[in-house]
Amino acid sequence: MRFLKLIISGLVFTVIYPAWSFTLNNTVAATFPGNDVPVNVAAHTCNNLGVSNQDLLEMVGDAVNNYWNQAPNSRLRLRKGSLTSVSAAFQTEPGCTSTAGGSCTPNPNLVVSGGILISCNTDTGSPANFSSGVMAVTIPNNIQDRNINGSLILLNDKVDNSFKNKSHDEQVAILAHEIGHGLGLGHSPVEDSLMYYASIPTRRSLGWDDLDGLAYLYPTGQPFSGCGSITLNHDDDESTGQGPGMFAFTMMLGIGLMLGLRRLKTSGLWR
Amino acid sequence: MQQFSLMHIQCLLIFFLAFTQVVLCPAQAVETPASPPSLLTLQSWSLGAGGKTDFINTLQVDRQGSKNSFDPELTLLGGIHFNAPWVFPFIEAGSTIPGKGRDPNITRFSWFANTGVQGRFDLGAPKALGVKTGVGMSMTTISSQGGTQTLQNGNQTDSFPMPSGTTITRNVIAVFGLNYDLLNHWRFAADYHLFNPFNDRNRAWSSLFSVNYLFDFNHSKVAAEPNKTKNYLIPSEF
Repeated sequence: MRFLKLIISGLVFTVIYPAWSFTLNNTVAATFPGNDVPVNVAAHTCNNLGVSNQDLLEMVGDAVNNYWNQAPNSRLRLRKGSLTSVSAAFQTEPGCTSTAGGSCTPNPNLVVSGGILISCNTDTGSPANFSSGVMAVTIPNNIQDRNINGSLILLNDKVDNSFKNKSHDEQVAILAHEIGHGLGLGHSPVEDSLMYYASIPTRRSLGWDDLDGLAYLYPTGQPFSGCGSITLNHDDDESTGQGPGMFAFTMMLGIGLMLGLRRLKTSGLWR
Repeated sequence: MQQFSLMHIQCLLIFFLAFTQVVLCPAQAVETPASPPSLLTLQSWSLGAGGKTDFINTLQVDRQGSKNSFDPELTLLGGIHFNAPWVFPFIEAGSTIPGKGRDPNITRFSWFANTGVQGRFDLGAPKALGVKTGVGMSMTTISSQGGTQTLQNGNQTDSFPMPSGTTITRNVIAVFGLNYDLLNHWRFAADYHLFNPFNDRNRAWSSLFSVNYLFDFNHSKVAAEPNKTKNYLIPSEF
């Protein structure tokens, strides 16, 4: 008995109380209403980033799959989009027409109609997008009520940008961080979170704050999602006819088999 | 998703059926040698405490890039254990303690409710080994009272809004576990919860190591029950 008391006491006193923190980048906790959010890359040439648009698009694939799509308790499924033709304004104009009081008034010329759009930007307008050392700016610039319809990520494409000097993995992490802003998350005060305000070369996956922030904004709702539909995950649109219906059928088949075997056993026909 | 779908489900089911129909039978026979139990009888209930680690090896926990391995949260749990033909069904539920830490404005805790079956292997009373499998729901509650945090933003600081309200996430989980009865009424359990079992994109594991105390439901009733199966011979005198 003393041994057991020691074990229980040890369990109680050695457990850690992890708790986490995250912030938002808008006051209404706006989110994308759907589960499937594409991340597109503007098709115009980036002159100073050191990577091509196609390279950027491939990095977007890594960013969504290695970071945000890993969250076990989020309904969101980000996907690599495509190279998208946009107006020249995305390449030069500021993301905000005003930043008075720290609040951005989105530039109406750069409104993103759907999903998240990444565009390199040479920052020739006013107010400036990028102060010294800033690699990117993200604005959910198409919000209606509490729905984000579109978010814009502007990558610093000026000659002196520091993005081009980062390793491939760090560039992927930077894109993932900006995509997090595009989803509605703000910065985190802790270093082990992707949403920490500074880039860290050893970033490899989400941190607790990121996971909790994403789960807060985009929680899973298994097994019932919406009225009358049953789902185990949100990848059913890409499945090959083996979605929740097939799962339910297979489970019923299994239960039927069990009951059948039980009946055979009780009747003595099968031992 | 395509690689872990119907075929895997069927394999799991076949394994499950084989497990419940064949492997569990010897243990059942040990515990009820005289007569088969009724369809479903209450056997015991339990209370326990342990440490639960969520989403093992999924999240970065330091600047160096290490991932989370074993950082348990105190978890309280309870269960009801049944006796049925061939298997021992169970219902269990547990919760971590609502905690506030790095940010006192955000409260987070997770809770779960599981059901399934287990097999018991008698290792010489009171020692016994249990193997269990089942399904359940895991939920996480995240809540905050709002407000703002002033954080670095580029070369300046800005006030970032805190969430205001509560969100509950719900995940269907598959449950696997081993437990060991070392002493009378005391059970050590190692359980694993598999999130998104049919989705290799965000599949994740949580572990729960716990110590449980079992209370018999019908200990006294069994003792008081008259032996219905014994054949009493009453001498007839004439």
